[in-house]
Amino acid sequence: MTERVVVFGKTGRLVGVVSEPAARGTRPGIVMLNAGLLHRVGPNRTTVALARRLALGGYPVIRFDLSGIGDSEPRRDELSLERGTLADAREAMDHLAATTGADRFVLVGLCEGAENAFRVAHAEPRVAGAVLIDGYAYPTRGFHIRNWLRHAARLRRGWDYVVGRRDWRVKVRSMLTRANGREHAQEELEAPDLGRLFPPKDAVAGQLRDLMARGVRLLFIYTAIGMSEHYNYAGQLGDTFPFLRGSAQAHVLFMKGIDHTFTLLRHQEMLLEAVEAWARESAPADEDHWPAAASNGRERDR
Amino acid sequence: MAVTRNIRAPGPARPQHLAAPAGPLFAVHHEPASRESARLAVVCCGPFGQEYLRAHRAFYQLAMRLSRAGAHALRFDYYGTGDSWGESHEGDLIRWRSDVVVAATALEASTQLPVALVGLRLGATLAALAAAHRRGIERLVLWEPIVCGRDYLDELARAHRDLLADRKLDARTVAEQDGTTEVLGFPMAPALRHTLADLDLLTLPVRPAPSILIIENDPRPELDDLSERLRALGAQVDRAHLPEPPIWERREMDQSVVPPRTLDHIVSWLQGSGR
Repeated sequence: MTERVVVFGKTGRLVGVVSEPAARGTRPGIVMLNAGLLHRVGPNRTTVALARRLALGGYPVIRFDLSGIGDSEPRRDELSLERGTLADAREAMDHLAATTGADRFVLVGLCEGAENAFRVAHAEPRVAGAVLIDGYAYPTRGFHIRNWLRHAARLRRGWDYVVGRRDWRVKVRSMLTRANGREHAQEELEAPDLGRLFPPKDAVAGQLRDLMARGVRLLFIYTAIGMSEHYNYAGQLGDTFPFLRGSAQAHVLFMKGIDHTFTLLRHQEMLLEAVEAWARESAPADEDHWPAAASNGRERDR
Repeated sequence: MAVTRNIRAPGPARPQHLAAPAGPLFAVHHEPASRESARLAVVCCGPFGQEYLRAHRAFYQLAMRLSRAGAHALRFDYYGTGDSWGESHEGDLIRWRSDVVVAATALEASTQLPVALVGLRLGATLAALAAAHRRGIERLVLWEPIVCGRDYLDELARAHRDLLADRKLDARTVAEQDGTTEVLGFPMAPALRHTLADLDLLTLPVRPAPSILIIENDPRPELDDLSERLRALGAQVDRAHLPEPPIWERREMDQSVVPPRTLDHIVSWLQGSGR
């Protein structure tokens, strides 16, 4: 596996790193998008680790900074943020296509990166798969029930302090110690409220149907701690979009005990293994496995 | 004190790999708009782990400011960090000190200019160690340097425990067979832990540079001891207390903090007008 630093795009503003397998094969190219405002190495350097793992598995991978993030300069045209992201992602795919021969692509994104990956996957015919980590989520009855039970458990813990079953002084000391320390965590004590707004569910349902019709393969990963305000049980996505249930194209992984940025090393390894396993099964080298690349209307030779 | 700045457009930024013994280091060379009139080249040495992620934007802005001010600036990732070669558990202070020397040598060769070093937190410490080891560095900026490695390890351990508690993560940290543990999302291999435990800037045997600026965003008594030590070694030490948010501390992925006063002061001082 080798890596090269690349500056690419129509105006030469986008910065990234391409991880290339030792032997050029026919596996799809992987395009890894920024997580929030973090630059292309990802939270806890997980994007680098995943890119290298996938490259060792035979996939050419590009991790890059969208315009205005990390080392990439801002766009100088008048495209909206959403259209600019799509344009940037297309330029990344163009670069991989030109330098590695990949003609179909799998996108990988976390949080806002997952939202971007979903939108780009829908708009770009060359995208044949996507890994969406902590992306869109919509409440269901099952979500509300579990959420209520969680809050009830918290109230009960509070009552335990009132009736003396728990020592409130220990709790206060613990809170003050963390609040006063210079290394005080800025998140709330509960799982952080990411404050995210998702598009209307019906619109996303329509886009999902389009992706399914196109044969696009999707891996949805939800972290139980990171997404607790939005997603709290394994079957929630299937309950939200019942047409996904039983589909061989959609895999859902609900990772219990794991936070949004995969803080613990063993959780990072679980993420890498999960994506690698999905890629082996869902994004192999076999060209017959994939829908035809449709970027310029050409037919695949059979 | 009036500071006059020439505000110019920055020159091009050139991402690249630097050749290093263990594997290529990712770097970005920010050039001034006019190479001919440049008089200064600066290597920017980032902090470790989570702090590196949080400080990335600020270091980018620092390099852009230096470029606009007519200087060369080189940002880079140590081996086993960022986009550089190497796994995350493979770094230690000795290797990273060498990486600073590699970066400084590369920038000097490319620009034929004297090289200054700027470092934040552990990056400041590495800059001081590298300058003391390599010699030939005239100006050194130590932005909130880590003075005592044991204290830093304690600080990291407390921050790690707090993070696990806040996120209700399983606090059992399982050490690998080789003794690697973890802190705030990154591995802490024995080599790094041992080199940090042995670290004490107060025992620097030689002055790292004749002219040194120490920046503190929060007052710390150990920086008084460090100033005294560096002066005893013959360095001219300037101190700057700039109360701005500690940019290296943890925050959400959609937040980024850039400390403008600190960055402007660094640029002014390096140009010789910041005293």
